[in-house]
This record gives sequence, structure tokens and C-alpha cells, in this order.
Amino acid sequence: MDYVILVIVFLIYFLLVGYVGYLAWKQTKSSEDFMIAGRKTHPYVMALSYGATFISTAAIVGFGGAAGQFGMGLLWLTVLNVFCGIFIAFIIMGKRTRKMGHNLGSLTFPEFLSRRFNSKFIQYFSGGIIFFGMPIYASVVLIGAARFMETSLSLNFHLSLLVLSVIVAAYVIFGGIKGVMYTEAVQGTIMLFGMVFLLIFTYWILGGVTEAHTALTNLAPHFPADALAIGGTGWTTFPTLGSPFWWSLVSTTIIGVGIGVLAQPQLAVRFMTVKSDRELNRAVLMGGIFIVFSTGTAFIVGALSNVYFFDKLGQISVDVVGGNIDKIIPEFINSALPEWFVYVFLLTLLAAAMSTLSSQYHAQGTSLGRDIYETLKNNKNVESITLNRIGILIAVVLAFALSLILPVGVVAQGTALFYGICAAAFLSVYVCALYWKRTTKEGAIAGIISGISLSLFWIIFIFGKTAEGLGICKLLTGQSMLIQAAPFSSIDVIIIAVPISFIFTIVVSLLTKPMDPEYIEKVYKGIGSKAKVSGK
Amino acid sequence: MILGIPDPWVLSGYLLLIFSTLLCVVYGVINWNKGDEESSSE
Repeated sequence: MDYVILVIVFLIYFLLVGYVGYLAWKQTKSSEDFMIAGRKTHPYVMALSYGATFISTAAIVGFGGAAGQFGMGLLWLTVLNVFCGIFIAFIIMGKRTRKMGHNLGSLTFPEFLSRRFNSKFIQYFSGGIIFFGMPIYASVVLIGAARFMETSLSLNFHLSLLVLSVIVAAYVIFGGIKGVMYTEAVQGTIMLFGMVFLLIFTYWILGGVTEAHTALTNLAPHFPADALAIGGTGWTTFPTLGSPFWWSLVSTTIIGVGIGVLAQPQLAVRFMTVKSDRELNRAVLMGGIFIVFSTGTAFIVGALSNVYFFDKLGQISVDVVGGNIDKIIPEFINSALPEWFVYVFLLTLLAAAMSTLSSQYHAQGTSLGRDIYETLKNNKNVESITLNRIGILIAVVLAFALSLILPVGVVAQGTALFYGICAAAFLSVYVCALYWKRTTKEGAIAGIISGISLSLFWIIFIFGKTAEGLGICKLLTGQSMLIQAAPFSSIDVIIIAVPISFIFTIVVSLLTKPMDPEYIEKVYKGIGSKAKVSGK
Repeated sequence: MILGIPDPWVLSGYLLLIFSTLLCVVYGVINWNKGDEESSSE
């Protein structure tokens, strides 16, 4: 690989992103522009931005590598990514979120929940969850991107952190959500092209779809021993029911990440950036295609890399990379694909990281500026772009600082941690807000607080990976986790905390006084059976 | 063995992947111009 060409490619990319960010800045005049793009986003921009935020570099390289080790069972995650993350999210959740958000005039996800339930507490408390929970997730993405720049461009790690932070900060602070979404549309397009080519090329060099899968099936006797020990059975077969690997795959990966996506504030806010349901209908098509090619390709190619390496080197992928599964996808690309694609792929990974990062900064900044500061200060409806810009700057500095000090154990769990907390805190209340008029303010608060408390407890004391990674349980009790017996330490927080939070939301709502029917009427105006009436 | 995948769980995952994407595509195509009620009223 020629570094000069790579540097030029990256420079062109940065200039393009900078130019798009500049366009966004020129079009950002009000708070509504800054936070929900004036509710006028093009469906392509919305869909690609949603997808590019959703899929980070870790999803491609990390999960792709995991598929190289553990096999194609991970494809179920892509099924949920497409079905829940796009189809259900856009149609069942998105349309109502858009309409209700418009009725309520809300500009952020916490503000949406807060106005739905007429509770300021919900706004600053939810804003707090986002502002204080997200930096770990953001620094995990930032670290991933900087490590990747360090290896591909031979840049110093700290310098890479700084360069990335400054570039992303610039277009998020000046361009707001438009800066985020326009650049994400560019980044998403690069990702889509890179992943489509990768999938087709991989099947092509392995002789076709059925031939490639058959060769992988025939490799089963070489399936890694450590994967066999925890219940794996082969690359094209599902793990043994009830084994630690089965629990980890089904609960954390498939259900945890697959369902967890529905309650991500930085994704949910995107539904409020479009004008009508028509844009969401169109975005379903584009989003579905984007997600299937981004995650699906990573999992299929990760698993099939075994066939390629075994054929060429007589080794399976895990052995080729010396056990570091994060290197499986890059190693495969370096060995099997044409040289020009290596540049495209490096750009794809950088785009994936930057697009996730920019949304995180934006969500955190608006949480601090709009949801926490303004709500507590009581000065709503002022033109608060400056405040949000300061919030974003603080978020950028926070992620940068955390990136320098976070221990490795936390970095590995950062994404799952934030997904778990968000789903536990918001999913039940979000669903009830959209579909159950009888939900009360007290019910919503109970749902959020029970979800966040239980999820933190589970993450710190019970769930093996996070409890060990954080080390708080060990510090307090001397044991790395409270319950050693399987399957508890392998059950993801979402499986436990989301149902409990639903129960709290529903029971407390039924025990408290219903909300003012007139207010509910206003909230649900044009939603459900009344849509046609109000449309006339 | 369909598509070279012997396990019904993994095979169904692979097929559902294609099916759910098609669902998104077909839904998008059928509803391409629907749901635009607000632009005329606003």
C-alpha cells in the first residue's frame, strides 16, 4: 500500500466532509435547524444518516471478526438490525415519533418524552442519562478510530485522537444536526459502496454463494477449540442450546443489540427531522438496503475468510491473526482484495467511526444545553444554539479526555453498556408514550428510574463481561460478579431490565390519575384513527 | 443442504436476512408516494 495515495485519499475525504459541513453551517439559522434540521431532511440523507450512526467501525471490524471466529449464527443480528432497527423502528415507532414530536414541538428525544408526559424531571433526568452515559460509548468509538488511523496512516495515537476530535467537533458544532446528517450521508454512501463491493467480490473469489458456504461447512473439523468449549459447533451451525456461547449470542448480541437499537436517543431524534410519513416510507427502503449490506457483509465475509485463508495458508482466520479477531477483516482485505479497495475500505472504516461519533457528540451536546441547562434554568424557547454548541464542545473534550484514561476492560464493553442502559431506561416509556394513552407522568418516571437502577446494578454486579470489565463489584465485594452460576452472568441487561421497567411503567400508571384528556388529545392529534379526520 | 448451510437456524437467519430486506424494499416501493398529507395542509 502506498502511504502517499492513502494520505491523498484521506485528505480529499476530509475536504469533502468539511465542505458538506460548511454547507450545513450556512443553512443552520434556528434551534430547530440545529437540532432537527428544520424537519425538512431528504429521505436518503435521513436513512443513510440513521444507518451510518447505527453502524460503527466496531460493528464492521469487531463483529465481523467475531463471525470469523464463531460463525454465521451472527447473521441473526443482521436480521434484527434490518427488521427491528429499520422496519419496526421507522414504521411502528418512527411515524408516531415524528407526528407526536411535531405536535409537542420537541427538538430532542428527552424533550419529546418530557412534553409527552408533561414533566420537566423527565427531560433533565433523561438528558443526564445521555450526557453522562454516552461519553464512554463515544470514547470507545473515538479510540477505535484513532487506533485505526494510527495503524493505517502511521500517525501517533494521541495526535490521531486530536485530529479526529477537532475535525468532527468542527462540523458538529457549526453545522448542528445538518452538519451531522449531511456528512453522514456522504460517509454512509462510501460505506455502502465499500461493503457491497466487498460482499460480491468475496463470493466471487470463493466460487459463488453455495460453493463458498459449502466449503465453510466442510471446514467444521477445524473450528477453534475455545469456541467449541463454550458451545460453538461450527461456522455454519448454531451453538448448542443453553450453552454460554448460545446465551451470549442470543441475549447480548441478537436481542441486546437488535432490540436495544429501538431506544437509542441519537437514532430516535432522526424521525423528527423529516417532513412527513412519505419521507419515512422512502427511508425504509434505503435504510434496509444500507443495514443489510453493512452488517450482513461483515458477518458473511468474516466467516468466509476462513475458507480463503485455509485454502491459501492452510490456517483458519483466528490462527492467521494470532488470536486477535479484530484483525480478521483487515487481514482478509489486505490479502484477498485488489489494492485500490484497501484504500476504499480504510475510508469506509474511518467514515463509519466518524459518523457514529458525530451523532454522539450532537446528542450529548443538546442534552446538556437544551435538556439539562435550559430546563433547570427555565428559559425555554430562547434561541439556544450557542448553548448547545458549548454542550457539544464539552462532550468532545470529555470523550477526548476519557479516551486517554479508560481501562481496556471498559473499552471492550462500552457500546453494549450504553445500549443496555438506554434500552433499560427508555424503551418501555418510549413505547408506552407512543401507544398507550393511559400512561401517566408518574408511570413514566417509575419506568425510567426502575430501568436505569436495575440496569446499572446488573451491569456492575451480575453481567459477567461488564462486571469484570468495570471492576467495581470486585472492589466492593471481593468477587468479580455476585452470581457465578450460569446462565445469569451471560444474560444481557436488556432481557432483565426492559421487562421490569415495562411492569413499573404499567402498574404505576394504572395506580395513578390519568393525564388530562385534553392534553392527551393534543399529543395524539392526527395519530391513529384520527389521522384521516385531521388531514382533511 | 440449501445454499451450502446445513443448520436450519443459520439457514433461516440467512433467508430471513434477505426476506426482511425485501420487506423494506417492497414497503418502500408500495408506499413511495403515500403519507404526504402534511405538506399540503401546512
